[in-house]
Amino acid sequence: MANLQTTTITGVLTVTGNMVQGTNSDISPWYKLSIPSGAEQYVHVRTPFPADASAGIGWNPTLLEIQGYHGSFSDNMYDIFAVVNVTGDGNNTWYGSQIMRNDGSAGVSPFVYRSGSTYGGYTRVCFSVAKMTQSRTGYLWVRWWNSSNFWNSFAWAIANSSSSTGVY
Amino acid sequence: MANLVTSTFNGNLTGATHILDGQSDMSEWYKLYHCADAPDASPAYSAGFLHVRTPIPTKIADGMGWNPYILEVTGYHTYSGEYFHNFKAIVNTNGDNDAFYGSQVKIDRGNASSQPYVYESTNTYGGKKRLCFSVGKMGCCCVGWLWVRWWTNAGKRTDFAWATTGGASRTNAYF
Repeated sequence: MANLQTTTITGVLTVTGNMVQGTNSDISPWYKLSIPSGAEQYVHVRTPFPADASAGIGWNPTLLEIQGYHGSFSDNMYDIFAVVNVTGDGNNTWYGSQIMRNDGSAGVSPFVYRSGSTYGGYTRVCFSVAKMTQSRTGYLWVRWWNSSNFWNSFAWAIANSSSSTGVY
Repeated sequence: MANLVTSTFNGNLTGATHILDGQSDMSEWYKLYHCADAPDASPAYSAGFLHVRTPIPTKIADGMGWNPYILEVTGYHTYSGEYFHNFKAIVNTNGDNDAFYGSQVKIDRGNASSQPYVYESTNTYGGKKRLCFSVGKMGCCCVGWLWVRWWTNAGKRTDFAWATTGGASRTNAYF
């Protein structure tokens, strides 16, 4: 791995992987997911972000941001901010689905939850949004603000379900 | 400082402090803690405001006359996002008489508590007046973060130090 000091690139910079903005910003890179084909009403995403105080995120909320669409006419458009938090006083309580901004299409019904199982030793922040029940092209882009160091702490996952809860 | 020509990184690229995109002329998102100072815990600031001083100068002499830019702010205060901030403002200085154009908040998608207000500092810092703004906050020194950037004039990003302070008023210039 190369380590550069302050560097100026005169021209175009292309990064084949992810570009992490650094401590001034502390925002994770956008991560793109393809919505799977299927007739189910909801798509669920499991992020790498841990949802346990033991990971150092207790009493230190994060902004989860979601953009995307599903359907050839953007029948479902997603534009969401949520505040994600767990208590830090030892009881590790999940704060629930705190959707602060939902500027997408009507009925996309964002729901943010903590996984019921652990993955890599931690429960993980997950969410669901409504999708078309026909198989259509669609993508989601996800990132979070604060605690960006968890951007690659575990694998992402995506799956469809007839329920808005309880997939992961 | 290294100087590279057009380059491709095969893998991930991490900026230890920041990465700037010169073509876009946007400053990097700059992260600020929402608990400004100890007096924030005072009941006098209950349902008070956080004031932020940015590095951007505001006067014609600093190249800002008739040269508007977009100020963008995102953030929250406290555990349930009781105060959620998400706004864009147009900032401008009259190129004839050096007058500040006022608080031109064009898009405000924060919650009702956010109440963004943009102003020019009363005092000078580093010999220049600076762009400032305020947003609502809880009357406690509870955790919260703001992210701030601007579109055009990104070169002003290091013109002076950032600062924050608490205040009981939304519109008084605390800087």
